[in-house]
Amino acid sequence: MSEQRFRINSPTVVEETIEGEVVVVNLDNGNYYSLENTSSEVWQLVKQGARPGQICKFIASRYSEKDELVEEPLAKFLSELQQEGLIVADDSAATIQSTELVLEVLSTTPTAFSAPVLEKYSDMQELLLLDPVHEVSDSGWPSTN
Amino acid sequence: MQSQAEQFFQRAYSAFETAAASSQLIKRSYCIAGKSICFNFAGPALLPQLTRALAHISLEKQETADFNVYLFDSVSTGVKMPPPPWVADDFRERGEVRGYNDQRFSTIFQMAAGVLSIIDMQESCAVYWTENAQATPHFESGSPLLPIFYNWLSSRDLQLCHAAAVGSSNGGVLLAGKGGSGKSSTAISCLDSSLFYLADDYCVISAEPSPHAYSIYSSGKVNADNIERVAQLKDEISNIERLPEEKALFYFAESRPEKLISDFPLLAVLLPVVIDGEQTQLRPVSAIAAIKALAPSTIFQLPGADAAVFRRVAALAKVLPCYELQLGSDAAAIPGVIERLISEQSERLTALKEVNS
Repeated sequence: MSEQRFRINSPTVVEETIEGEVVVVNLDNGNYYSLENTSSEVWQLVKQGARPGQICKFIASRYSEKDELVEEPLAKFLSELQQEGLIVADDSAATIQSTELVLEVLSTTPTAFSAPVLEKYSDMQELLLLDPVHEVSDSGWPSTN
Repeated sequence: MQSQAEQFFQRAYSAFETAAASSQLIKRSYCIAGKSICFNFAGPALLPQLTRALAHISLEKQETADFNVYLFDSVSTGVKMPPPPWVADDFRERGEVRGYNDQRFSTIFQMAAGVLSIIDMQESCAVYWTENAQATPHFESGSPLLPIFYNWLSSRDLQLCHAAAVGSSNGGVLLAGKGGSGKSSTAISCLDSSLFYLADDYCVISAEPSPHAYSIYSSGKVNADNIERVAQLKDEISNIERLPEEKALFYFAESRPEKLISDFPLLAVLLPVVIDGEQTQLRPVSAIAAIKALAPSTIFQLPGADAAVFRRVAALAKVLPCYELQLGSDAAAIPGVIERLISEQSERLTALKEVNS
């Protein structure tokens, strides 16, 4: 698995976690996202600075699964997070040991592994449609007429 | 050395001073969430456009204010705003001007409204300019100065929120959801009940020391194709000649001042959704559902809104019960469902206080 670490793409991306579920907002494109269960867990581990290999092993161990079962859905999910602009490559030298990674066990934590899913909502995009500056008045300011 | 944002603010403020000197300085003061704000108008042209929605929170003449706004337009005062020192590509999606926003200054041009707002948080003041006061669109008149209010209140850890609110002095509820979800029409339908109206589109919330909501605008807006749902208010529409191009705009401080309330403790968050069926009912939902209903639409409508919105909204959603308000076709029954919830929550809180005292 790639050892490229990622970080949350702040300040473009803002997020909040409550009881294991994450809501993420991309301020640039008007999309917001919901992450639950395994997808929320992967997000938390990315935030802690874990590399994909570490995330894979952690999740596999958590659900008593083989690494190979987790690897492909995890890679696909991380790619999706990148494509949506939610995470970016982190080339800083900081490292975290696998033993330092922590995930809270909640009453809602599932007992079996399922592929992480990114729920995307685009209903706010229209609020960000920028009116084109198609006319400029004599004063130099955009004309709204 | 002055930043380019500060330099432009100085030029904009100088233009205001010139406008005020050439016309007439008119002051109006308002109270929002216990804080005072003074509008300093250069000439009278902008008054009817921007003050009707704030009439219910006006103050008698104040010597000082927590925040000052300096407002003028060019057509009525004959004073031009200095041309923008940035290029068209510097206008970002929510109106922020790239390169002119930092810790101290926020510079926003609302393209649809044609309004420039520059906020100086260090000096607690802002400049508001538009080319022609008479061209102020109805949505700006209904909810004026949103970027200025958001930035100022945010610095006081108060959150301007895209939500409606109804209740009484015992407590009230926040109605959250994107446009078209039914929050505005639900709030407006409560005008004919024993509930009071705090907001239909924007209100101010705080989570500390306990959840509370404050009124900012006494206006109401309903889509023209939904007018029949509030048919009893048809005579109160302020812009009926401009429907259906505009939303129907109401100024309840003028038509129903006795139904307005300035603030109340928040007891619950409701997420309206129209359902098939006659009966309106409540279904408990998670705090995350409330955050999804409140945070994105607030963030995307307010230039400069950022992670702090999430933090404040989450603080509220974590402590308040959240429900889906399933709106049935029997509209007259909706206020009663909300009233019963308010009564139950208020009694529960009173009982808790007695146990803890």
